[in-house]
Amino acid sequence: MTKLLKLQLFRALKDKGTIVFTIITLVLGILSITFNFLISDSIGQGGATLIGDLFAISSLINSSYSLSSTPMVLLIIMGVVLLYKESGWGTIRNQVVAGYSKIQIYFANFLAMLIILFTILLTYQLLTLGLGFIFGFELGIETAAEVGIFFRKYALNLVIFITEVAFMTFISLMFQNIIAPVFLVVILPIFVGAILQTVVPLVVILNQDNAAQIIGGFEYVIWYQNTSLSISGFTYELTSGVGSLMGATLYDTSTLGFILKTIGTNLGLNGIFLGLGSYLFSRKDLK
Amino acid sequence: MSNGSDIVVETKGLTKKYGTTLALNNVSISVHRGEIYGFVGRNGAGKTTLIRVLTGIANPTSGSFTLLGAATKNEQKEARKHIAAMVETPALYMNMTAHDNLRTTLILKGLKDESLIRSRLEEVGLSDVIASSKKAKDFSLGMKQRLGIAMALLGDPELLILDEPTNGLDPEGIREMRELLVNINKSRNITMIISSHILGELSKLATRFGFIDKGVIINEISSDDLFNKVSKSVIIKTDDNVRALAILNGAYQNRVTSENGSIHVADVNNSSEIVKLLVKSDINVVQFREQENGLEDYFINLIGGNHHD
Repeated sequence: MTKLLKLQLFRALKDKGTIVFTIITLVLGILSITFNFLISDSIGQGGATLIGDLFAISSLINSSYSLSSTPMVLLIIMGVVLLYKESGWGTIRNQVVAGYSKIQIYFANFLAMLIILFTILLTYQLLTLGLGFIFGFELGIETAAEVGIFFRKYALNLVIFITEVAFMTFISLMFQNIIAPVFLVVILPIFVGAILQTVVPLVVILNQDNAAQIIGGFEYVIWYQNTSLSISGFTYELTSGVGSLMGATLYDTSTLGFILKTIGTNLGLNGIFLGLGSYLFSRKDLK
Repeated sequence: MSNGSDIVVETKGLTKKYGTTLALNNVSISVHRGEIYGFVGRNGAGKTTLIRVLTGIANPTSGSFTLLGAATKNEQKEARKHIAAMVETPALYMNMTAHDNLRTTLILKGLKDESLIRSRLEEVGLSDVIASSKKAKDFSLGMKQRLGIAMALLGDPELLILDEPTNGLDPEGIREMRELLVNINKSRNITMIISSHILGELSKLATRFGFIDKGVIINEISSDDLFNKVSKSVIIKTDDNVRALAILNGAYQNRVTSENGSIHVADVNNSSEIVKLLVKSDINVVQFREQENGLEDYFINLIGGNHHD
Protein backbone atom coordinates (compact mmCIF):
# COMPACT_ATOMS: atom_id res chain seq x y z
CA MET A 1 0.00 0.00 0.00
CA THR A 2 2.82 2.42 0.87
CA LYS A 3 4.49 1.62 -2.43
CA LEU A 4 1.27 2.28 -4.32
CA LEU A 5 0.86 5.58 -2.51
CA LYS A 6 4.47 6.50 -3.27
CA LEU A 7 3.88 5.69 -6.93
CA GLN A 8 0.81 7.93 -7.06
CA LEU A 9 2.68 10.82 -5.47
CA PHE A 10 5.66 10.29 -7.78
CA ARG A 11 3.51 10.37 -10.90
CA ALA A 12 1.64 13.45 -9.67
CA LEU A 13 4.94 15.27 -9.23
CA LYS A 14 5.93 14.30 -12.77
CA ASP A 15 2.60 15.36 -14.24
CA LYS A 16 2.67 18.66 -16.08
CA GLY A 17 -1.12 18.97 -15.83
CA THR A 18 -0.97 18.74 -12.03
CA ILE A 19 1.75 21.37 -11.87
CA VAL A 20 -0.19 23.71 -14.19
CA PHE A 21 -3.44 23.25 -12.21
CA THR A 22 -1.56 23.90 -8.95
CA ILE A 23 -0.01 27.09 -10.29
CA ILE A 24 -3.37 28.31 -11.67
CA THR A 25 -5.07 27.57 -8.33
CA LEU A 26 -2.42 29.46 -6.36
CA VAL A 27 -2.40 32.39 -8.79
CA LEU A 28 -6.19 32.56 -8.46
CA GLY A 29 -5.74 32.65 -4.68
CA ILE A 30 -3.39 35.62 -5.03
CA LEU A 31 -5.74 37.35 -7.49
CA SER A 32 -8.78 36.66 -5.32
CA ILE A 33 -7.38 38.27 -2.20
CA THR A 34 -5.83 41.11 -4.19
CA PHE A 35 -9.18 41.73 -5.88
CA ASN A 36 -10.94 41.71 -2.50
CA PHE A 37 -8.31 44.11 -1.15
CA LEU A 38 -8.86 46.50 -4.08
CA ILE A 39 -12.64 46.48 -3.55
CA SER A 40 -12.23 46.94 0.17
CA ASP A 41 -9.74 49.73 -0.43
CA SER A 42 -12.00 51.52 -2.92
CA ILE A 43 -14.88 51.42 -0.43
CA GLY A 44 -12.66 53.11 2.11
CA GLN A 45 -11.85 52.69 5.75
CA GLY A 46 -15.34 51.59 6.69
CA GLY A 47 -15.49 49.08 3.87
CA ALA A 48 -14.71 45.99 5.84
CA THR A 49 -17.16 46.90 8.55
CA LEU A 50 -19.82 47.82 6.00
CA ILE A 51 -19.65 44.60 4.08
CA GLY A 52 -19.30 42.52 7.17
CA ASP A 53 -17.04 39.54 7.23
CA LEU A 54 -17.06 38.90 3.48
CA PHE A 55 -13.50 40.20 3.45
CA ALA A 56 -12.44 38.42 6.60
CA ILE A 57 -9.63 35.94 6.03
CA SER A 58 -11.46 33.19 7.93
CA SER A 59 -14.34 33.55 5.49
CA LEU A 60 -12.06 33.24 2.45
CA ILE A 61 -10.41 30.16 3.89
CA ASN A 62 -13.73 28.47 4.58
CA SER A 63 -15.15 29.34 1.17
CA SER A 64 -12.18 27.70 -0.58
CA TYR A 65 -13.68 24.29 0.36
CA SER A 66 -16.90 24.93 -1.48
CA LEU A 67 -17.36 22.78 -4.55
CA SER A 68 -18.74 25.84 -6.28
CA SER A 69 -15.61 27.85 -5.49
CA THR A 70 -12.99 28.17 -8.19
CA PRO A 71 -10.07 26.44 -6.41
CA MET A 72 -12.19 23.44 -5.49
CA VAL A 73 -13.54 23.08 -9.04
CA LEU A 74 -10.00 23.25 -10.41
CA LEU A 75 -8.71 20.72 -7.89
CA ILE A 76 -11.51 18.25 -8.53
CA ILE A 77 -10.99 18.49 -12.30
CA MET A 78 -7.26 18.03 -11.75
CA GLY A 79 -7.93 14.96 -9.61
CA VAL A 80 -10.31 13.46 -12.17
CA VAL A 81 -7.76 13.97 -14.96
CA LEU A 82 -4.96 12.52 -12.84
CA LEU A 83 -7.01 9.45 -11.99
CA TYR A 84 -8.15 9.01 -15.59
CA LYS A 85 -4.60 9.00 -16.96
CA GLU A 86 -3.89 5.66 -15.24
CA SER A 87 -6.84 4.06 -17.04
CA GLY A 88 -6.19 5.91 -20.30
CA TRP A 89 -2.57 4.79 -20.52
CA GLY A 90 -3.33 1.39 -19.05
CA THR A 91 -0.69 1.87 -16.34
CA ILE A 92 -3.23 0.86 -13.68
CA ARG A 93 -2.84 -2.65 -15.12
CA ASN A 94 0.84 -2.63 -14.11
CA GLN A 95 -0.22 -2.38 -10.47
CA VAL A 96 -2.49 -5.45 -10.71
CA VAL A 97 0.16 -7.40 -12.60
CA ALA A 98 2.71 -6.44 -9.93
CA GLY A 99 0.61 -8.23 -7.33
CA TYR A 100 -1.55 -5.52 -5.78
CA SER A 101 -5.22 -6.16 -5.19
CA LYS A 102 -7.76 -3.86 -6.79
CA ILE A 103 -8.95 -2.89 -3.30
CA GLN A 104 -5.42 -1.74 -2.41
CA ILE A 105 -5.26 0.20 -5.69
CA TYR A 106 -8.64 1.81 -4.97
CA PHE A 107 -7.60 3.01 -1.50
CA ALA A 108 -4.16 4.12 -2.67
CA ASN A 109 -5.80 6.29 -5.34
CA PHE A 110 -8.20 7.76 -2.79
CA LEU A 111 -5.48 8.51 -0.22
CA ALA A 112 -3.14 9.93 -2.87
CA MET A 113 -5.86 12.27 -4.14
CA LEU A 114 -6.66 13.30 -0.58
CA ILE A 115 -3.01 14.11 0.15
CA ILE A 116 -2.36 15.86 -3.17
CA LEU A 117 -5.55 17.93 -3.26
CA PHE A 118 -5.42 18.86 0.41
CA THR A 119 -1.76 19.90 0.15
CA ILE A 120 -2.59 22.25 -2.72
CA LEU A 121 -5.68 23.55 -0.94
CA LEU A 122 -3.75 24.12 2.27
CA THR A 123 -1.07 25.99 0.31
CA TYR A 124 -3.85 28.09 -1.24
CA GLN A 125 -5.27 28.82 2.20
CA LEU A 126 -1.91 29.65 3.77
CA LEU A 127 -1.15 31.92 0.81
CA THR A 128 -4.51 33.63 1.28
CA LEU A 129 -3.87 33.95 5.00
CA GLY A 130 -0.38 35.41 4.50
CA LEU A 131 -1.43 37.88 1.83
CA GLY A 132 -4.51 38.79 3.86
CA PHE A 133 -2.30 39.79 6.75
CA ILE A 134 0.00 41.76 4.46
CA PHE A 135 -2.99 43.59 2.98
CA GLY A 136 -4.22 44.37 6.49
CA PHE A 137 -7.41 42.33 6.42
CA GLU A 138 -9.07 41.40 9.62
CA LEU A 139 -8.84 37.73 10.52
CA GLY A 140 -12.54 37.66 11.34
CA ILE A 141 -11.89 35.74 14.53
CA GLU A 142 -11.52 37.61 17.74
CA THR A 143 -13.05 35.81 20.67
CA ALA A 144 -12.37 32.32 21.92
CA ALA A 145 -15.91 31.37 20.89
CA GLU A 146 -15.21 32.52 17.31
CA VAL A 147 -12.01 30.47 17.24
CA GLY A 148 -14.06 27.46 18.26
CA ILE A 149 -16.66 28.13 15.58
CA PHE A 150 -13.98 28.60 12.92
CA PHE A 151 -12.30 25.30 13.68
CA ARG A 152 -15.62 23.52 13.92
CA LYS A 153 -16.54 24.81 10.48
CA TYR A 154 -13.07 23.95 9.21
CA ALA A 155 -13.40 20.42 10.55
CA LEU A 156 -16.87 20.03 9.03
CA ASN A 157 -15.59 21.34 5.72
CA LEU A 158 -12.75 18.85 5.93
CA VAL A 159 -15.24 16.02 6.44
CA ILE A 160 -17.15 17.17 3.35
CA PHE A 161 -13.89 17.56 1.43
CA ILE A 162 -13.04 13.92 2.20
CA THR A 163 -16.47 12.88 0.91
CA GLU A 164 -15.92 14.85 -2.30
CA VAL A 165 -12.57 13.14 -2.88
CA ALA A 166 -14.13 9.74 -2.11
CA PHE A 167 -16.95 10.48 -4.56
CA MET A 168 -14.46 11.64 -7.20
CA THR A 169 -12.37 8.46 -6.73
CA PHE A 170 -15.49 6.27 -6.89
CA ILE A 171 -16.82 7.79 -10.11
CA SER A 172 -13.41 8.03 -11.79
CA LEU A 173 -12.40 4.43 -11.09
CA MET A 174 -15.82 2.95 -11.81
CA PHE A 175 -16.19 4.67 -15.17
CA GLN A 176 -12.52 4.62 -16.20
CA ASN A 177 -13.10 7.50 -18.58
CA ILE A 178 -13.01 11.25 -18.25
CA ILE A 179 -16.39 12.52 -19.42
CA ALA A 180 -18.55 10.80 -16.79
CA PRO A 181 -16.45 11.97 -13.80
CA VAL A 182 -16.22 15.56 -15.02
CA PHE A 183 -19.98 15.61 -15.55
CA LEU A 184 -21.03 13.72 -12.42
CA VAL A 185 -18.46 15.10 -10.00
CA VAL A 186 -18.07 18.68 -11.16
CA ILE A 187 -20.80 19.95 -13.46
CA LEU A 188 -23.86 18.18 -12.04
CA PRO A 189 -23.30 19.02 -8.34
CA ILE A 190 -22.63 22.68 -9.11
CA PHE A 191 -25.65 22.86 -11.42
CA VAL A 192 -27.96 21.08 -9.00
CA GLY A 193 -26.49 23.05 -6.07
CA ALA A 194 -27.16 26.34 -7.83
CA ILE A 195 -30.76 25.35 -8.57
CA LEU A 196 -31.39 24.07 -5.05
CA GLN A 197 -29.96 27.21 -3.50
CA THR A 198 -32.64 29.17 -5.27
CA VAL A 199 -35.49 26.68 -5.24
CA VAL A 200 -35.24 25.44 -1.63
CA PRO A 201 -35.50 28.88 0.02
CA LEU A 202 -38.43 29.76 -2.22
CA VAL A 203 -40.21 26.51 -1.35
CA VAL A 204 -39.49 27.10 2.33
CA ILE A 205 -40.72 30.68 2.26
CA LEU A 206 -43.91 29.64 0.50
CA ASN A 207 -44.46 26.77 2.96
CA GLN A 208 -43.19 28.20 6.19
CA ASP A 209 -45.32 25.82 8.25
CA ASN A 210 -43.38 22.84 6.88
CA ALA A 211 -40.02 24.56 6.65
CA ALA A 212 -38.28 22.29 9.13
CA GLN A 213 -39.32 19.11 7.28
CA ILE A 214 -38.36 20.49 3.87
CA ILE A 215 -34.97 21.65 5.05
CA GLY A 216 -34.45 18.43 6.98
CA GLY A 217 -35.06 16.44 3.82
CA PHE A 218 -32.74 18.53 1.71
CA GLU A 219 -29.95 18.40 4.26
CA TYR A 220 -29.50 14.75 3.40
CA VAL A 221 -30.11 15.18 -0.30
CA ILE A 222 -27.50 17.88 -0.64
CA TRP A 223 -24.57 15.94 0.64
CA TYR A 224 -22.22 18.58 -0.67
CA GLN A 225 -23.54 20.96 1.96
CA ASN A 226 -20.30 22.81 1.68
CA THR A 227 -22.00 25.32 -0.56
CA SER A 228 -23.93 26.41 2.51
CA LEU A 229 -21.24 25.78 5.09
CA SER A 230 -18.77 27.93 3.27
CA ILE A 231 -20.93 31.00 3.59
CA SER A 232 -19.65 32.71 6.66
CA GLY A 233 -22.89 34.04 8.18
CA PHE A 234 -24.47 31.32 10.25
CA THR A 235 -27.98 32.58 9.82
CA TYR A 236 -28.65 32.24 6.13
CA GLU A 237 -27.40 28.80 5.21
CA LEU A 238 -29.13 27.49 2.11
CA THR A 239 -30.85 30.83 1.72
CA SER A 240 -28.17 32.85 0.02
CA GLY A 241 -29.91 35.43 -2.12
CA VAL A 242 -33.63 35.08 -1.59
CA GLY A 243 -33.60 33.69 1.95
CA SER A 244 -31.26 36.26 3.40
CA LEU A 245 -33.18 39.13 1.82
CA MET A 246 -36.38 37.79 3.34
CA GLY A 247 -34.63 37.51 6.69
CA ALA A 248 -35.34 33.79 6.91
CA THR A 249 -33.25 31.59 9.14
CA LEU A 250 -33.50 28.06 7.87
CA TYR A 251 -31.07 26.12 9.94
CA ASP A 252 -28.14 26.95 12.08
CA THR A 253 -24.85 25.26 11.33
CA SER A 254 -23.60 26.03 14.81
CA THR A 255 -26.08 23.66 16.42
CA LEU A 256 -25.02 20.23 17.60
CA GLY A 257 -27.84 18.66 15.62
CA PHE A 258 -26.56 20.06 12.35
CA ILE A 259 -22.99 19.07 13.13
CA LEU A 260 -23.97 15.52 13.98
CA LYS A 261 -26.18 15.21 10.91
CA THR A 262 -23.39 16.51 8.68
CA ILE A 263 -20.86 14.11 10.18
CA GLY A 264 -23.34 11.23 10.04
CA THR A 265 -24.35 11.89 6.45
CA ASN A 266 -20.76 12.17 5.33
CA LEU A 267 -19.64 9.09 7.23
CA GLY A 268 -22.43 7.16 5.55
CA LEU A 269 -21.49 8.49 2.13
CA ASN A 270 -17.82 7.72 2.72
CA GLY A 271 -18.84 4.22 3.72
CA ILE A 272 -20.65 3.84 0.41
CA PHE A 273 -17.97 5.42 -1.77
CA LEU A 274 -15.04 3.66 -0.10
CA GLY A 275 -16.57 0.39 1.10
CA LEU A 276 -18.97 -0.40 -1.69
CA GLY A 277 -16.76 1.40 -4.24
CA SER A 278 -13.68 -0.69 -3.47
CA TYR A 279 -15.77 -3.89 -3.46
CA LEU A 280 -17.32 -3.12 -6.86
CA PHE A 281 -13.95 -2.07 -8.23
CA SER A 282 -12.38 -5.36 -7.11
CA ARG A 283 -15.00 -7.22 -9.13
CA LYS A 284 -14.60 -4.99 -12.16
CA ASP A 285 -12.43 -5.78 -15.15
CA LEU A 286 -9.87 -3.09 -15.88
CA LYS A 287 -9.72 -1.53 -19.32
CA MET B 1 8.87 -18.11 -5.78
CA SER B 2 9.88 -21.31 -7.52
CA ASN B 3 7.39 -23.89 -6.29
CA GLY B 4 9.44 -26.81 -7.44
CA SER B 5 6.73 -27.80 -9.87
CA ASP B 6 7.38 -28.06 -13.58
CA ILE B 7 4.05 -26.43 -14.32
CA VAL B 8 4.14 -22.63 -14.21
CA VAL B 9 0.60 -21.95 -15.42
CA GLU B 10 -2.31 -24.34 -15.49
CA THR B 11 -5.89 -23.45 -16.29
CA LYS B 12 -8.85 -25.73 -15.73
CA GLY B 13 -12.16 -25.04 -17.44
CA LEU B 14 -11.56 -21.31 -17.47
CA THR B 15 -14.57 -19.44 -18.78
CA LYS B 16 -15.11 -15.73 -19.27
CA LYS B 17 -18.34 -14.15 -20.41
CA TYR B 18 -18.87 -10.54 -21.46
CA GLY B 19 -22.63 -10.19 -21.35
CA THR B 20 -23.83 -12.99 -23.57
CA THR B 21 -20.52 -13.28 -25.42
CA LEU B 22 -18.41 -16.25 -24.44
CA ALA B 23 -14.84 -14.94 -24.73
CA LEU B 24 -13.28 -18.02 -23.11
CA ASN B 25 -15.02 -21.36 -23.13
CA ASN B 26 -13.76 -24.01 -20.75
CA VAL B 27 -10.09 -23.29 -21.46
CA SER B 28 -7.57 -25.76 -20.07
CA ILE B 29 -3.89 -25.29 -20.84
CA SER B 30 -0.60 -25.89 -19.11
CA VAL B 31 2.68 -24.05 -19.47
CA HIS B 32 5.87 -25.70 -18.28
CA ARG B 33 8.95 -24.10 -16.76
CA GLY B 34 11.44 -22.76 -19.31
CA GLU B 35 9.02 -22.97 -22.21
CA ILE B 36 8.19 -20.27 -24.69
CA TYR B 37 4.51 -20.95 -25.04
CA GLY B 38 3.13 -19.60 -28.31
CA PHE B 39 -0.53 -18.74 -27.92
CA VAL B 40 -2.02 -18.59 -31.38
CA GLY B 41 -5.43 -17.48 -32.55
CA ARG B 42 -7.10 -15.04 -34.87
CA ASN B 43 -8.00 -11.55 -33.73
CA GLY B 44 -10.84 -11.85 -31.22
CA ALA B 45 -10.20 -15.55 -30.60
CA GLY B 46 -9.72 -15.07 -26.86
CA LYS B 47 -5.93 -14.73 -26.50
CA THR B 48 -5.98 -11.35 -24.78
CA THR B 49 -8.92 -12.36 -22.58
CA LEU B 50 -7.01 -15.36 -21.24
CA ILE B 51 -3.96 -13.18 -20.59
CA ARG B 52 -6.13 -10.57 -18.86
CA VAL B 53 -7.56 -13.27 -16.60
CA LEU B 54 -4.15 -14.76 -15.79
CA THR B 55 -2.71 -11.35 -14.93
CA GLY B 56 -5.68 -10.43 -12.71
CA ILE B 57 -6.84 -7.56 -14.91
CA ALA B 58 -10.12 -9.40 -15.56
CA ASN B 59 -11.97 -11.82 -13.34
CA PRO B 60 -12.96 -15.24 -14.71
CA THR B 61 -16.64 -16.13 -14.84
CA SER B 62 -15.88 -19.73 -13.85
CA GLY B 63 -13.06 -22.24 -13.80
CA SER B 64 -9.74 -22.08 -12.01
CA PHE B 65 -6.06 -21.59 -12.66
CA THR B 66 -2.74 -21.80 -10.89
CA LEU B 67 0.13 -19.35 -11.24
CA LEU B 68 3.54 -20.62 -10.12
CA GLY B 69 1.57 -23.18 -8.12
CA ALA B 70 -0.64 -20.57 -6.45
CA ALA B 71 -4.32 -21.44 -6.57
CA THR B 72 -6.14 -19.02 -4.26
CA LYS B 73 -6.65 -15.32 -4.97
CA ASN B 74 -4.34 -14.28 -2.14
CA GLU B 75 -1.64 -16.74 -3.17
CA GLN B 76 -1.92 -15.55 -6.77
CA LYS B 77 -1.54 -11.96 -5.64
CA GLU B 78 1.79 -12.96 -4.10
CA ALA B 79 2.72 -15.06 -7.14
CA ARG B 80 2.18 -12.07 -9.42
CA LYS B 81 5.16 -10.40 -7.76
CA HIS B 82 7.22 -12.93 -9.73
CA ILE B 83 5.35 -12.41 -12.97
CA ALA B 84 5.60 -9.63 -15.51
CA ALA B 85 3.27 -8.93 -18.36
CA MET B 86 2.70 -6.63 -21.26
CA VAL B 87 -0.99 -6.79 -22.13
CA GLU B 88 -2.22 -5.35 -25.43
CA THR B 89 -0.15 -2.16 -25.70
CA PRO B 90 2.81 -1.37 -23.44
CA ALA B 91 1.38 0.35 -20.34
CA LEU B 92 3.66 3.38 -20.10
CA TYR B 93 3.40 6.75 -18.42
CA MET B 94 3.44 8.71 -21.65
CA ASN B 95 4.42 11.96 -19.92
CA MET B 96 7.55 10.42 -18.43
CA THR B 97 10.99 9.55 -19.76
CA ALA B 98 12.13 5.94 -20.13
CA HIS B 99 14.16 6.34 -16.94
CA ASP B 100 11.16 7.60 -14.94
CA ASN B 101 8.92 4.87 -16.35
CA LEU B 102 11.34 2.30 -15.00
CA ARG B 103 11.44 4.16 -11.70
CA THR B 104 7.68 3.65 -11.36
CA THR B 105 8.29 -0.09 -11.62
CA LEU B 106 11.12 0.12 -9.08
CA ILE B 107 8.71 1.87 -6.69
CA LEU B 108 5.95 -0.69 -7.33
CA LYS B 109 8.28 -3.60 -6.70
CA GLY B 110 9.99 -1.94 -3.76
CA LEU B 111 13.44 -2.11 -5.37
CA LYS B 112 16.12 0.36 -4.32
CA ASP B 113 18.89 -0.37 -6.82
CA GLU B 114 18.61 2.39 -9.42
CA SER B 115 21.45 0.87 -11.46
CA LEU B 116 18.91 -1.74 -12.59
CA ILE B 117 17.30 0.94 -14.74
CA ARG B 118 20.43 1.39 -16.85
CA SER B 119 21.10 -2.33 -17.16
CA ARG B 120 17.54 -3.16 -18.25
CA LEU B 121 17.46 -0.34 -20.79
CA GLU B 122 20.78 -1.56 -22.19
CA GLU B 123 19.48 -5.12 -22.28
CA VAL B 124 16.54 -4.17 -24.49
CA GLY B 125 18.64 -1.94 -26.74
CA LEU B 126 17.47 1.41 -25.41
CA SER B 127 20.86 2.72 -24.26
CA ASP B 128 20.25 5.90 -26.24
CA VAL B 129 17.42 7.03 -24.01
CA ILE B 130 18.95 6.30 -20.60
CA ALA B 131 19.73 9.96 -19.94
CA SER B 132 17.37 11.40 -22.52
CA SER B 133 14.58 13.83 -21.68
CA LYS B 134 12.46 12.37 -24.48
CA LYS B 135 9.02 11.38 -23.21
CA ALA B 136 7.53 7.93 -23.87
CA LYS B 137 4.76 9.50 -25.97
CA ASP B 138 7.42 10.53 -28.50
CA PHE B 139 8.89 7.02 -28.79
CA SER B 140 8.35 4.86 -31.87
CA LEU B 141 6.13 1.80 -31.40
CA GLY B 142 9.20 -0.44 -31.37
CA MET B 143 10.81 1.66 -28.65
CA LYS B 144 7.60 1.58 -26.61
CA GLN B 145 7.50 -2.22 -26.88
CA ARG B 146 11.13 -2.44 -25.79
CA LEU B 147 10.53 -0.07 -22.89
CA GLY B 148 7.52 -2.17 -21.85
CA ILE B 149 9.75 -5.26 -21.84
CA ALA B 150 12.49 -3.43 -19.88
CA MET B 151 9.88 -2.54 -17.24
CA ALA B 152 8.68 -6.13 -17.21
CA LEU B 153 12.20 -7.44 -16.67
CA LEU B 154 12.77 -5.37 -13.52
CA GLY B 155 12.51 -7.62 -10.52
CA ASP B 156 13.67 -10.70 -12.44
CA PRO B 157 10.32 -12.35 -13.15
CA GLU B 158 9.97 -16.11 -13.46
CA LEU B 159 7.18 -15.78 -15.98
CA LEU B 160 6.86 -13.18 -18.72
CA ILE B 161 3.50 -12.82 -20.47
CA LEU B 162 3.52 -10.82 -23.69
CA ASP B 163 0.39 -10.10 -25.67
CA GLU B 164 1.16 -9.60 -29.37
CA PRO B 165 4.58 -8.01 -28.71
CA THR B 166 5.29 -7.62 -32.42
CA ASN B 167 1.96 -6.03 -33.28
CA GLY B 168 2.46 -3.02 -35.51
CA LEU B 169 6.22 -3.51 -35.92
CA ASP B 170 7.90 -3.49 -39.31
CA PRO B 171 9.72 -6.67 -40.48
CA GLU B 172 13.04 -5.42 -39.11
CA GLY B 173 11.39 -4.58 -35.80
CA ILE B 174 9.77 -8.02 -35.67
CA ARG B 175 13.13 -9.70 -36.25
CA GLU B 176 14.80 -7.59 -33.55
CA MET B 177 12.00 -8.29 -31.08
CA ARG B 178 12.21 -12.02 -31.79
CA GLU B 179 15.98 -12.04 -31.19
CA LEU B 180 15.50 -10.05 -27.99
CA LEU B 181 12.93 -12.49 -26.64
CA VAL B 182 15.02 -15.55 -27.51
CA ASN B 183 18.02 -13.95 -25.78
CA ILE B 184 15.98 -13.17 -22.68
CA ASN B 185 14.60 -16.70 -22.57
CA LYS B 186 18.06 -18.22 -22.90
CA SER B 187 20.03 -15.85 -20.68
CA ARG B 188 17.51 -15.66 -17.87
CA ASN B 189 15.67 -18.95 -18.28
CA ILE B 190 12.35 -17.10 -18.05
CA THR B 191 9.21 -18.98 -18.96
CA MET B 192 7.26 -17.01 -21.54
CA ILE B 193 3.74 -16.92 -22.85
CA ILE B 194 3.59 -15.00 -26.11
CA SER B 195 0.41 -14.48 -28.05
CA SER B 196 0.13 -13.77 -31.75
CA HIS B 197 -2.31 -14.18 -34.58
CA ILE B 198 0.56 -15.11 -36.91
CA LEU B 199 1.74 -18.68 -36.44
CA GLY B 200 4.71 -18.22 -38.77
CA GLU B 201 6.02 -15.51 -36.50
CA LEU B 202 5.79 -17.60 -33.36
CA SER B 203 7.11 -20.73 -35.06
CA LYS B 204 10.61 -19.23 -35.00
CA LEU B 205 10.38 -18.63 -31.29
CA ALA B 206 8.00 -20.90 -29.39
CA THR B 207 8.78 -24.32 -27.99
CA ARG B 208 5.13 -25.22 -27.53
CA PHE B 209 1.89 -23.93 -28.97
CA GLY B 210 -1.67 -23.52 -27.84
CA PHE B 211 -4.26 -22.80 -30.53
CA ILE B 212 -7.43 -20.96 -29.61
CA ASP B 213 -10.49 -20.15 -31.66
CA LYS B 214 -13.77 -18.62 -30.56
CA GLY B 215 -12.66 -18.93 -26.95
CA VAL B 216 -11.98 -22.66 -27.22
CA ILE B 217 -8.55 -24.30 -27.06
CA ILE B 218 -8.44 -26.50 -30.11
CA ASN B 219 -4.96 -27.94 -29.77
CA GLU B 220 -1.80 -27.87 -27.68
CA ILE B 221 1.28 -29.15 -29.43
CA SER B 222 5.05 -29.05 -29.03
CA SER B 223 7.18 -27.28 -31.60
CA ASP B 224 8.75 -30.59 -32.76
CA ASP B 225 5.36 -32.24 -33.19
CA LEU B 226 4.07 -29.22 -35.07
CA PHE B 227 6.92 -29.31 -37.55
CA ASN B 228 6.49 -33.05 -37.98
CA LYS B 229 2.86 -32.51 -38.82
CA VAL B 230 3.55 -29.63 -41.14
CA SER B 231 4.85 -30.90 -44.46
CA LYS B 232 7.11 -29.06 -46.82
CA SER B 233 6.64 -28.27 -50.47
CA VAL B 234 9.47 -28.58 -52.98
CA ILE B 235 9.76 -26.49 -56.12
CA ILE B 236 12.23 -27.76 -58.74
CA LYS B 237 13.38 -27.03 -62.26
CA THR B 238 15.17 -29.71 -64.31
CA ASP B 239 16.77 -30.03 -67.73
CA ASP B 240 13.92 -32.41 -68.70
CA ASN B 241 10.72 -31.39 -67.00
CA VAL B 242 8.49 -33.71 -69.06
CA ARG B 243 10.33 -36.86 -67.95
CA ALA B 244 10.79 -35.54 -64.40
CA LEU B 245 7.04 -34.89 -64.13
CA ALA B 246 6.28 -38.45 -65.19
CA ILE B 247 8.75 -39.95 -62.70
CA LEU B 248 7.59 -37.76 -59.80
CA ASN B 249 3.92 -38.41 -60.60
CA GLY B 250 4.66 -42.09 -60.22
CA ALA B 251 6.37 -41.61 -56.85
CA TYR B 252 4.20 -38.81 -55.37
CA GLN B 253 0.73 -39.47 -56.72
CA ASN B 254 -1.66 -36.52 -56.81
CA ARG B 255 0.86 -34.25 -55.17
CA VAL B 256 2.75 -33.07 -58.24
CA THR B 257 1.82 -30.09 -60.38
CA SER B 258 3.62 -28.19 -63.09
CA GLU B 259 3.43 -24.49 -63.55
CA ASN B 260 5.51 -21.89 -65.43
CA GLY B 261 8.34 -24.33 -66.09
CA SER B 262 8.58 -25.44 -62.44
CA ILE B 263 7.48 -28.67 -60.81
CA HIS B 264 5.75 -28.35 -57.46
CA VAL B 265 5.67 -31.36 -55.11
CA ALA B 266 3.43 -30.94 -52.06
CA ASP B 267 3.55 -32.68 -48.65
CA VAL B 268 7.16 -33.79 -48.81
CA ASN B 269 8.73 -35.25 -45.69
CA ASN B 270 12.18 -35.95 -47.09
CA SER B 271 13.09 -33.61 -49.92
CA SER B 272 16.47 -35.22 -50.63
CA GLU B 273 14.60 -38.33 -51.86
CA ILE B 274 13.26 -36.27 -54.79
CA VAL B 275 16.76 -35.23 -55.85
CA LYS B 276 18.06 -38.80 -55.54
CA LEU B 277 15.19 -40.12 -57.66
CA LEU B 278 15.79 -37.61 -60.46
CA VAL B 279 19.57 -37.98 -60.46
CA LYS B 280 19.14 -41.77 -60.64
CA SER B 281 17.10 -41.23 -63.83
CA ASP B 282 19.84 -39.01 -65.32
CA ILE B 283 17.84 -35.82 -64.93
CA ASN B 284 19.77 -32.76 -63.83
CA VAL B 285 18.17 -30.59 -61.18
CA VAL B 286 18.67 -26.95 -62.23
CA GLN B 287 16.83 -25.31 -59.37
CA PHE B 288 15.66 -26.63 -56.01
CA ARG B 289 13.70 -24.80 -53.32
CA GLU B 290 11.94 -25.94 -50.15
CA GLN B 291 8.91 -24.06 -48.93
CA GLU B 292 7.45 -24.39 -45.44
CA ASN B 293 4.11 -22.98 -46.34
CA GLY B 294 2.24 -25.57 -44.36
CA LEU B 295 2.22 -23.64 -41.04
CA GLU B 296 -0.55 -21.28 -41.93
CA ASP B 297 -2.40 -24.10 -43.75
CA TYR B 298 -2.14 -26.18 -40.60
CA PHE B 299 -3.53 -23.30 -38.57
CA ILE B 300 -6.39 -22.64 -40.99
CA ASN B 301 -7.29 -26.34 -41.12
CA LEU B 302 -7.22 -26.45 -37.34
CA ILE B 303 -9.69 -23.61 -36.96
CA GLY B 304 -11.98 -25.15 -39.52
CA GLY B 305 -11.17 -23.82 -42.94
CA ASN B 306 -11.86 -20.49 -44.45
CA HIS B 307 -14.32 -18.94 -42.08
CA HIS B 308 -13.74 -15.35 -41.19
CA ASP B 309 -14.84 -12.93 -38.43
